[in-house]
Amino acid sequence: MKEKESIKKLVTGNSPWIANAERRIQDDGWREESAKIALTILRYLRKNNIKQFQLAEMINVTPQQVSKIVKGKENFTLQTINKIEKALNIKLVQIVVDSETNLNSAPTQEYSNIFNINDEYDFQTKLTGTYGYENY
Amino acid sequence: MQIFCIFETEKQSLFSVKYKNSEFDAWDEIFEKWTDVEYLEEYFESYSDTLKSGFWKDISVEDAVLKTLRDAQLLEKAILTCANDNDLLKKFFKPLTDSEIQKDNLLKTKAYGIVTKWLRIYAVKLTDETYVVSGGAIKLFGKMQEQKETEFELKKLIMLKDFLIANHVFDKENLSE
Repeated sequence: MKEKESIKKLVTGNSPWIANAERRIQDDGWREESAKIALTILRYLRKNNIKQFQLAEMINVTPQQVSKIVKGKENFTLQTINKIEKALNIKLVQIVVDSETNLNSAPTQEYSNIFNINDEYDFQTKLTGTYGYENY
Repeated sequence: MQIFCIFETEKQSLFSVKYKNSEFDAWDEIFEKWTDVEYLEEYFESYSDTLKSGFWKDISVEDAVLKTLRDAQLLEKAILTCANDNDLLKKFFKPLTDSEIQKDNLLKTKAYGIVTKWLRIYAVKLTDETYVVSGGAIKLFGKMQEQKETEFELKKLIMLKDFLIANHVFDKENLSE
């Protein structure tokens, strides 16, 4: 165990990795979707020779904000997605109206009273980025 | 060069190098890069011809990015379980080459991705339960010397080994080289 004690004497700091990893895992639900959107945007920018600073100007945000978006680290609002879709004329997210799902899982009386849920439709957001994880 | 502690439990320890002028320690940097869509898209785009070669069966840049993100996530989760005091760390790190197997200590090792064939983490093994990480790469060619990123990682691994020798991390009488 001499080696372990020797290396411990050389340690000058602690890696922030555990905290960073736990945060990434905690966020992995939206981060997966964010990554797909980021990749769709990046491939579009490359194909159409559009620079990130140009996209920033088009959607009226800072270049730093665009950098966060294309790294897949942005927890998008629908407003931001909509701005990018309009600026690039592409579809990143599609809202699917699924009446079948609603028929199979009708809201309870209690909740429908409180929230006045419309029992005609069940709305599901579904990401339709070109690239999916489904095959992996 | 500095040494940072990634985690230390009763059973096992993982350390990482922090290079001068680097914002992150090597271990944290690996996962920052492998979870960065922009970095991965640029990386695989620069090797798009390689991905089209027979060995990789014409995988697209998009698929390569998404597979890597998925694999980094799985790897990160798996290593986190090691930080929670199991003794699986030694199962992740394999000898770098067959010739390394003959050595008792200062073993140069590598860890693989779980899904993809290309993720590599490089480390020097101090004991079965103690490793020091020098860096990592996405390895798309057979030999480390065939790709600039992995060739650089090999140099970093040797540099770390020399650093550990210079700092007397090993007993000289136990040194097998």
